[in-house]
Amino acid sequence: MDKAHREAGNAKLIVLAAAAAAAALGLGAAWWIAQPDHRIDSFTRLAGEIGCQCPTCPLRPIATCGCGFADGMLAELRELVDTGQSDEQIMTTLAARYDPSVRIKPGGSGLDLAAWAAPILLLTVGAVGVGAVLSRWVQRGTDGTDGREQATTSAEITTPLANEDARLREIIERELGSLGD
Amino acid sequence: MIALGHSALVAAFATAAYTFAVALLGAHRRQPALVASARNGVYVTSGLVVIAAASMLWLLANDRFVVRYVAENSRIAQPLIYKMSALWGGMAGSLLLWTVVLCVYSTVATWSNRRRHPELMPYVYAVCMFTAMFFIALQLFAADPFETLPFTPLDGRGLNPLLQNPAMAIHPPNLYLGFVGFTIPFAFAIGALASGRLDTSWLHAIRRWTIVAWFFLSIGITLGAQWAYVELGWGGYWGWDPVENASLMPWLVATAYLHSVMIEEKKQMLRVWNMLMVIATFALCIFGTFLTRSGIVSSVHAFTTSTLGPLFAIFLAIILAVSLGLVAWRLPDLRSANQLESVLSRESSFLFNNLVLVVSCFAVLWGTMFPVISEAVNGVKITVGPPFFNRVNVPIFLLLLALTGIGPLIAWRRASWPSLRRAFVWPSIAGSGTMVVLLVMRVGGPYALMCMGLSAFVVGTVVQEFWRGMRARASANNESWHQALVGLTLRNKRRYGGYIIHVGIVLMAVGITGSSVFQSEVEATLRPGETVDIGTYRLQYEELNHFQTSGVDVSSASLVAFDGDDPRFRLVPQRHFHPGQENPTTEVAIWSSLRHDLYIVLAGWDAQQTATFKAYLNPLVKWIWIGLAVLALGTILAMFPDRRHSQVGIANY
Repeated sequence: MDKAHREAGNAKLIVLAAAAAAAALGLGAAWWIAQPDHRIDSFTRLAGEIGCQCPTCPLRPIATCGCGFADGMLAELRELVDTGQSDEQIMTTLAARYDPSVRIKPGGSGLDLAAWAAPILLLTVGAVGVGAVLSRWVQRGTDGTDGREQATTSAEITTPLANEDARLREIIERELGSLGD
Repeated sequence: MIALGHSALVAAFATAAYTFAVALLGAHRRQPALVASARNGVYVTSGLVVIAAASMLWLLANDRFVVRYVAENSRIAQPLIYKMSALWGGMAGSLLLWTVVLCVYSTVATWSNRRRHPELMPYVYAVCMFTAMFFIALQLFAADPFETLPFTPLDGRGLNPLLQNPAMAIHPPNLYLGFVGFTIPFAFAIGALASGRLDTSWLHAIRRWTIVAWFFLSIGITLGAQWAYVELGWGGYWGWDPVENASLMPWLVATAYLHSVMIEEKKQMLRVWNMLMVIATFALCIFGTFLTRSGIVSSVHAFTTSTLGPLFAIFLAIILAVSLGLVAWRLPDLRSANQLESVLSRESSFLFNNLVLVVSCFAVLWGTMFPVISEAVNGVKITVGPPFFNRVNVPIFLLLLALTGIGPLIAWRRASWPSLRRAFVWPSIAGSGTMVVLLVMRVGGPYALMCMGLSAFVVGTVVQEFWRGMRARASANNESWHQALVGLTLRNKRRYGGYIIHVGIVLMAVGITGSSVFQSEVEATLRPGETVDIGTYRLQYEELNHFQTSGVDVSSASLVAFDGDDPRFRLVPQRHFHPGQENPTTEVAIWSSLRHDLYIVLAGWDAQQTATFKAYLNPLVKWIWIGLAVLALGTILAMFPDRRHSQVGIANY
């Protein structure tokens, strides 16, 4: 009994450690993905991160918007880039000139980072969670310890099905084996 | 006709309320007479709503501008098709369409199950009629489609010109057929929870309903993308607009459900999860409807800001509270004997597939609502646009594409390493071979390479599955290859329909990758006779004409496209100036082939006939629309029931 408890405790610790590692990985990935792509030039990068401010195409990057208003904003952006200002200075200038919503890509710090982190954390920690659940279910399936959720009725339902499934699997595996020959 | 329509709505509200009450009472007291009365109540309510919708269509078709809705969304010179489609062009009419689709679905569900599921059906009637009551109430008290003006205008304002497009005439009805269609699975889920009949009978009852709703939603989303492509004139088809996102979210969750439900059907596992997926899908449909009408996020597609937002929020809260409360109440009965033989099984791959789909939905929801959330948290609205959605979702979608290929290769229950090796070898060669070829040709960046490689991998798995099945059938039954292929597909329509759907998704992924990664663009101001090059084409500007058609002022440019020295085709981009509208609409000229689309926008001109053009070369766009056709084919196949057969030895083939 003690051994079983110890093993269960160890398993929980492993899952927690894996979840913590996944969270750290997720946060790192979120920070990395939020950073500006410095492989492309400043004008192209910012044109993809500034939203058109005309009423008919809100939030569309001026790089791809194609409307006359976006063309005007692109010309302004070109002038600002040519003055040698940093990305942040240019964004501040345009936000003051139009609206803070010109910036359509959240930044990589503070609350902005939460925008990037939440889905990525859900993916990485969720993957650990699914892995843990799967390993628990497999353990139940192999050692017969079904846990308290297994109702008698379910067991009664699944036993004949399991026998039938095993028989069918055998037939299928035999046929698949013959396919490989 | 105005009085008829309005009276029909009032009466429909009353009969829906009666049906709701009688259905619950009948279920509670177990009185068949009350349940039968509720069943008739569904038919009567539906009939009344159909009368209301028909009245509105008549008013639109006959230019009865004394009705505010008709005056705001139609005009005399508007073609009949757009007079009819004005039914969903405005807020009140779109609510009427929602209601009529719901009532027609409810009637079909009621009729087709009139002798089945006696414990579930009263609750199904109650849920459908409660939803109908809400939408009718919105029309009676907040957005009345039959509201009259104190005077009769000589002409109407007309439908928004952007909506006067063939795709727009069919895209919203499809979207509504999808959105509203998920009411029926939700109603059955609530019926199962409330009645305690939690075996798989409710799952079988909703299977086809879910596929039908998913089918229409898929078509609706893609047609919406096509409308954006041809009508908005920016060279793309998907802008991660909040309203576009609202349609994608229930699609993602419903896709997750369509996979996870197979585990419940086969092993009675994931019962709580599947229940939550059905509830989440319907809740997201209502949330999407709320998003379009509340004005809480800015969108090019949203209806004008209205007072309906809080009402939708209350309705959504009621739905979530009741359904999650029922799940909590039935939790002991929903728990199942969750057991697996091996992590290396299709069940595992479906669990990861569900995780990825749900994360993708969450990423879209989170990004869409983040401006609202950030404003609530620290008072600063952080805007989230396409750069966020692309960066977060592209890796997730690649993961999903990989799982689309991996899932079918792993056996149910337990897979052995030798069988996995055997299953993976050819698809992996197809995938990695494609990537190597593209790498050698220096085509695209890492994401594009991965997408193309994974697409080849998925197609490889599907071809292999068909090939193995055909071979097994051909040798077992002495059939020709052709007979084996047809027999195989018809024997297990759900499975092979699913594989065809996978191919459709892959074709769409290829089209999306090609058009977003390899798009080229050029802008040029030309005088007649001058040329501009894009890709292998030379575009020669010929002339600019101005004329009027159907009351619309048209400015039309003509260009000839040369490939080499040969003139290949003529392109005629236009600008339309609709009366009473501030901004002209862009009518792009598109020459489409399997390789690429040449997409021309007339951006501006002057009195000397000098015109400015934007030309885009969008590779592989056509594959998106072909992918939709393949997806539709697979879905139609999967919708039909499989033939019963006794030869269990080849049951899976």
